[in-house]
Formats: sequence, C-alpha cells, structure tokens
Amino acid sequence: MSRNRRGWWGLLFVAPALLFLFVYFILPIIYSGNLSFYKVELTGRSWVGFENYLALGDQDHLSNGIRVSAKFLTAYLFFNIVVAYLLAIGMSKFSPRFCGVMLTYYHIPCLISAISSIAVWRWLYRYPGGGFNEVLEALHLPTMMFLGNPRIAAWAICFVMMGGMVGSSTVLYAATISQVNKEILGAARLDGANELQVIWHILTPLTQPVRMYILIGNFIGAMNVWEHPFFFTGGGPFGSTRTMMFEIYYTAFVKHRFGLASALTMVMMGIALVIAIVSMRRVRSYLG
Amino acid sequence: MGKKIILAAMIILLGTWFVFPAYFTLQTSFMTKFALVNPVTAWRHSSLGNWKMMPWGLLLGWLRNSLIVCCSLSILTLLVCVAAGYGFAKFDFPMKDPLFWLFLVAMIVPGTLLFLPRYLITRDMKILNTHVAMILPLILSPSMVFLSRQYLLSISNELLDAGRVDGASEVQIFRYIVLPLVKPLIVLAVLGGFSAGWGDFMWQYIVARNRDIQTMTVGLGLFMMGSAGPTGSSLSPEFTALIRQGISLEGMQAVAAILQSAPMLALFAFGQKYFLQGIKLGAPE
Repeated sequence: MSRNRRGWWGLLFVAPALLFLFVYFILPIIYSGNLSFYKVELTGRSWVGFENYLALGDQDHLSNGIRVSAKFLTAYLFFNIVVAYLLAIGMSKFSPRFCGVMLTYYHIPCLISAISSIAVWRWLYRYPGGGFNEVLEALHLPTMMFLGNPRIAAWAICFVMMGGMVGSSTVLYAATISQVNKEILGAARLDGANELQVIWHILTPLTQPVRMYILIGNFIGAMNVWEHPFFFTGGGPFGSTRTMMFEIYYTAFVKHRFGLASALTMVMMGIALVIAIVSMRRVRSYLG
Repeated sequence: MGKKIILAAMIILLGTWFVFPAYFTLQTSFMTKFALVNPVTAWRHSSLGNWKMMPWGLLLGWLRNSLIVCCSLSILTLLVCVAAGYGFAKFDFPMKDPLFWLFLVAMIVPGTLLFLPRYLITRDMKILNTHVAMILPLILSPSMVFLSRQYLLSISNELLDAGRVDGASEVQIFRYIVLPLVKPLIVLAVLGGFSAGWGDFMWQYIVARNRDIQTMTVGLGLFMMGSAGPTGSSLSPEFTALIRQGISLEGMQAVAAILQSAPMLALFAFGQKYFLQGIKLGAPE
C-alpha cells in the first residue's frame, strides 16, 4: 500500500474528532461573532453594527467580569502556586509513607463534586445562624455576613474552591520534587546553603515546568468560574461575584440580551486565545 | 525534631480544615435535627431518618438519565478521541500540523466559554431537552486527543507494518493490534468521558429544562440549593412537598451530596493508578 494512501486513513481516523471540533468549537465562534452585530428580540434580529461592543464599555459588564475574575485568579495563583508548593516542600521532609498519606488526605476534597461541597459550605456561611457564625457567637465575637457583603463574598467563594484544588496541585509539585536528585541538595547544603536558599535557588527553578503548567491551567480555570457563584450568591451581592462566565450567562439568560452576550463571548474568547497562543510555546516544549 | 513535629502538625491541620466539610456532610446525613455541635460526640444522636425519607423513585429516574448520558459519553469519547490520537500519532496526511495545532488551542481555550453559541446552535438543531443535546458537546475532549497521541507514539511502527503485511485493514489494525496494547489509555478515556458527564452541571442545566430528562447532577444540585435558580428550571414536586412538611432539609441535602459524590469517589478508587499515569503523561517532565 502506498504511503500516500495510508495517509488518507490517518485523516479518516481524525475525521470524527474534526467534525466535533468544527461544530462545537469553530462554528460557535463564527455564530456568536455574527450575532454580536445584531440586537436580538423575540420578533427577530436587527443589525446594529458595533453597538453591542460599545455597550460593553458603558454598561460595566466587561469591566465587572474582569475585575471579579481577577479576584478569583489571585486566589487560584496564591493557593496553587504558593501554598501547594510550600505544602509539597513540607511533605518532602518526611518519609514517603507520611507524604503519601497526606497527599491522599489533601486529595479527598478534590474528589467531592463541586455542588456537594457548595451545599455544605452554604450552611457554614449562612447568616444569621450558620456554622461559622455560631462559633463566632460562642466566642463572643461579632457575627459576619460572609456571602451578603460585596467585599467578602468573592473571597469566601474562592476559599471553598481552593479547598478542592490545592490537593491536586500539591500532587503535581510533590511528584516533581520527589524526582529531584538528593545529591544536588546534599551538595548545596554541604556548601553552606541554608534551607531557604536551597528552596529558592535549586527547587524553584527545577519545578518551573510544573509551575507553568499549573499557571496556564489557572488562567483558564479562573475565566471558567460559574458554578460556585451561581449556587452561592447568584452573582450578587451587587454583582460582586459575577465572573466573566457569569456575566455572559447573566446577560443572555437573565436579561435575554443575546447580542450583547455574544459580544461578551467574543471578547472573552479573544482573551482566552491570547493566553493560549502565548502559552503554546510552553506546551510545544513538552510535546516531545 | 521539634520543628519537624510543628511542621507535621501544620500540614495535618490545614488538610483537616479542607477535609472537614466532607466529614460534616457525612455526619449531617445521619442527623434528623440540624445543628453544628461537637463533631465527635454528635454521632450519639445519629439515625437513618434522612436516608429513609429520600424519594428514591425519583432518584432512580435521575440515575437512569445520568447513566444514559455518562455511558454514551464514555463510549463516544473513547471512539472519537483515541481514534484521533491514533491518526495524529501514526499517519502522515496533508494539513496534519495545523490541524493538530487547532486541537492544542482548543485544549487550552475552554470550550465551556462558548456555552451561549453552543446553546443557540443546539436550539437551531431543534434538539433542546434531549439526552443527545446533553451528550454531543462533551464528546470531544481535546486534552484526551492530546493524551492519546502521546500514548500511541510509543507503539512500534514495525508491529503495525507486520499487521499490514499480513493483510489486515487499517481498522482491523486499530481494533485488534493497537487497542489491546493500550488498556490504561482506554480506561482513562472511559473514566474521563464518564466523569465529564457526571461533573457537568452548567450545560445540562441550560439544555434540559424538562424534569423527565434531568440528570442526577442537575436534579440533586437544584435540590441541594433548595430552590429553582434564577432561570426557573424546575425543582421536583416531591422535594417541594418535603420542604413544606418542614423536614430538616440539611440532613437530606447531605444525603443528596453523598449520592452525588459517591460515583466519582468509587471511580477514582477503581482507576487511581490510571489517573496517576494520566497525570504523568499530561504533566511536563
């Protein structure tokens, strides 16, 4: 069989995936790109040019979404880049057995479905009378509206999400740290490097690929936050938990402004594409 | 030595803080009266009341819908993604690199961001409120295509050529030579498809407003919230009745939370070593 003919078989194996890629990734982009130039009403649609994009600036949807998503991204980065790394280093000081048990322990919350954990945390955050407020009362401290205060709500939600994420980032870090040659660390200590210097000058550069991997995932993850605000606060109070995803959902399905929501989708796709292309070189480098 | 004990204590304490809600859920599911009491002694008041009160018939219907969605997803993910990975790993065809690049971009750009146009396309296809609509957008997982390609690169070309010399067709080679060699990959694809279906709330919530085809995730999710949500998807009357009777809702929500998490926990326990292989393959060196 000629090499050429076999090549067409390859295309045939790829074809179903390509079809889905077209219908559910490429076509939607074209579709919402087109729709973003229309005002959509029950009776039909009318061409409005760039009006939807201009409205994004006026109506605060985009800037609010970006501001809230940035909060979530901050929490993602703090917990997955800093806390998970420190945890993995801390665990590496102990026997592999203790390390393994702890990794499993931290991984438990990652396995609980998001919705289940949200239900529990809603009891704990409830005001008045939620779990945390009962504890605060018992200690004679002032009670707090965790989810009703626009300055706290987003962080309260972030905290819940992070409990379910730190574990998997820690596993990734721990896997890399365990592969670091012990002799290098020993040699550095022999040369008089203290613990902080070992971490900063040896372990941190060696774990850089994992960090990039987590970083890219976190950028995308933070854009994708929807479920948690939906169940905790419904986007409130005062829009303080309406992430980028939530803004699209809100304009489309609550306010029924499909044209505006499509413009939002396009802008966010643009941001995501920029991130994707910037990080593509990184992905390529470990493609092998 | 003292420092090490403090470090260990800190690690354990932080982990406990994260794990506590899971423990609390388990406990609450056995409490007919909701209260945050001493989490160790509270077991004395436990009973099976909440578990008996659950409307099991309704749940079975949801479970059926979930199984339809998740099992179809498992099979279709396996067929579509592993085949594509095989095509990219072992064949040369025109436009191969740009096409693979497209999959890589799709892997990084979250498809969920496109839920609005996807919804409108589904509406135009006139398949809203069907299982098909819930399944279709989740079948293609670009990261699964990527993972499959990485995995299948390791299969030797001589083996495939030997099959060709013996007169096997390309499909037969894929089915009878390649697939039996990559069992871990098959398990990963099947589990990945299943958990994608089980874990997804947003798409199933938007697409399926009809109560009869609601999946476990959506049904229990709405119940756990004790409300129908801003877009008015329907909360089942069985639950509304229970809420009116003044049952301790938290206890039953805890039962629902456990039922919702149990399959994923079981799958993880079953597929743990494959998940770890997946992490190793997917993560950078």
